[in-house]
Amino acid sequence: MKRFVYILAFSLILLIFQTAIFSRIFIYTPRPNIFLILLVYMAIENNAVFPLFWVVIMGLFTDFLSGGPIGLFSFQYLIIYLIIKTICKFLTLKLIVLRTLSVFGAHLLQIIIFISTINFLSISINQNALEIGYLFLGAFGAAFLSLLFYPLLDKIGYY
Amino acid sequence: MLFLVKKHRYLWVLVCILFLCLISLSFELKKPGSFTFLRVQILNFLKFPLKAITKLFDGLISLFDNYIYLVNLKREISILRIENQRLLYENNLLRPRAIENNRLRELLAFQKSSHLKTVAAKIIGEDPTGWYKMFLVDKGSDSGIRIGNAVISPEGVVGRVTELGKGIAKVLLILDTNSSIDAMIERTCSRGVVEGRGDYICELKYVSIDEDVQIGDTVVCSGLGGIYPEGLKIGKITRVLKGGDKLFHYIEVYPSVNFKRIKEVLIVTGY
Repeated sequence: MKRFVYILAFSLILLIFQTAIFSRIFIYTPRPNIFLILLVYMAIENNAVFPLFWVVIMGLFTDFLSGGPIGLFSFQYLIIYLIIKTICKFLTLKLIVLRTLSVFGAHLLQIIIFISTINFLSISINQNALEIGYLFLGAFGAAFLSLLFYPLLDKIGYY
Repeated sequence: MLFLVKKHRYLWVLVCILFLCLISLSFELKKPGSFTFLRVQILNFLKFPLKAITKLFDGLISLFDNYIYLVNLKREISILRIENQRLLYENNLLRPRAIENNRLRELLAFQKSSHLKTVAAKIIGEDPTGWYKMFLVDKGSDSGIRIGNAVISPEGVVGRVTELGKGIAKVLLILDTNSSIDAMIERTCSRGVVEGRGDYICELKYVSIDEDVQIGDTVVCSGLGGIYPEGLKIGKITRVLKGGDKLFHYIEVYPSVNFKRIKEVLIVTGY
């Protein structure tokens, strides 16, 4: 329980950092989703059940801070978490290259799920965010960030 | 049945959670504002760390700028180098404050000269996902702000308040696709609706094809709708596509507000 609270607090700080600071660092480029990077890490490294609740809670906090309806991002994060967990049953994704590719794939997957959900629910969406180059750039940025972030998490034994 | 549930309980928990997410999503879409109380409480909870991290980041940026400037100073050869360094260092500490001072002075002058009752607020965050164009500001219901209040700056219209807590508010920008403002072209008084596109350009829609529209024309709020005061600047027309068998022009409007650099805003609380 204690570990769950620590991990939740750390994730919340990352989300607040993303909300308050990332927009001022990445002014002219798409912003990588730092929580998604952490989610991929937890899905690959952690075997416990509690991350499922962690994903839902963090998804809800993202929904509260973003402009979208409640449930939109928690749904997406859950699906991504499940897909990665399922892939982990057949493949070991613990190598650096594979982890980086997983982050890249998770970002693209999030975009696909997001666009499908909003089209299905007829929610209007910002046109700029749908440009292909823009989307790939965001995913590349996230993959690059994971190369810096993951060794740090490995060292502190985050999971 | 119980045996199946016990055997696959992880799966059942997952299915229930997914189901709940979909239910809350469709519930909120059908009845917007259903979870307002919960949203407000969460926003109130998150406002303190948001403000703290923004302040910390500003301090770090200022420190970094000072360091770079001092490194450059080492190249200069002068008898008065020591005195010069001391004065330049002091000046460098004061320069960001002077820039901020000018910015706030401009904001105050605009606030005083305008007939509008406004509350100044600082931007403390943006949409973390990047999919929506919105800001978080550090003033809320305790400052007399209400949902639907217009948000402006000396350069022009910024957006409107869509969610509110005590000491924090969410502002939907005019750049967002969910934003629409009743507007008119200042020169000809031709009416239309300015809608966000999701990037840094807006569209002025429903301007009849017989209306005279030129690049460089200023677009302002018409005052109808009761949210945005009349005459407030929205932007300038940068592109007009005429002709074809369509009823309306295709007009692009470049907002007068620099959304990439804006740090403070004014929230209109009364006229």
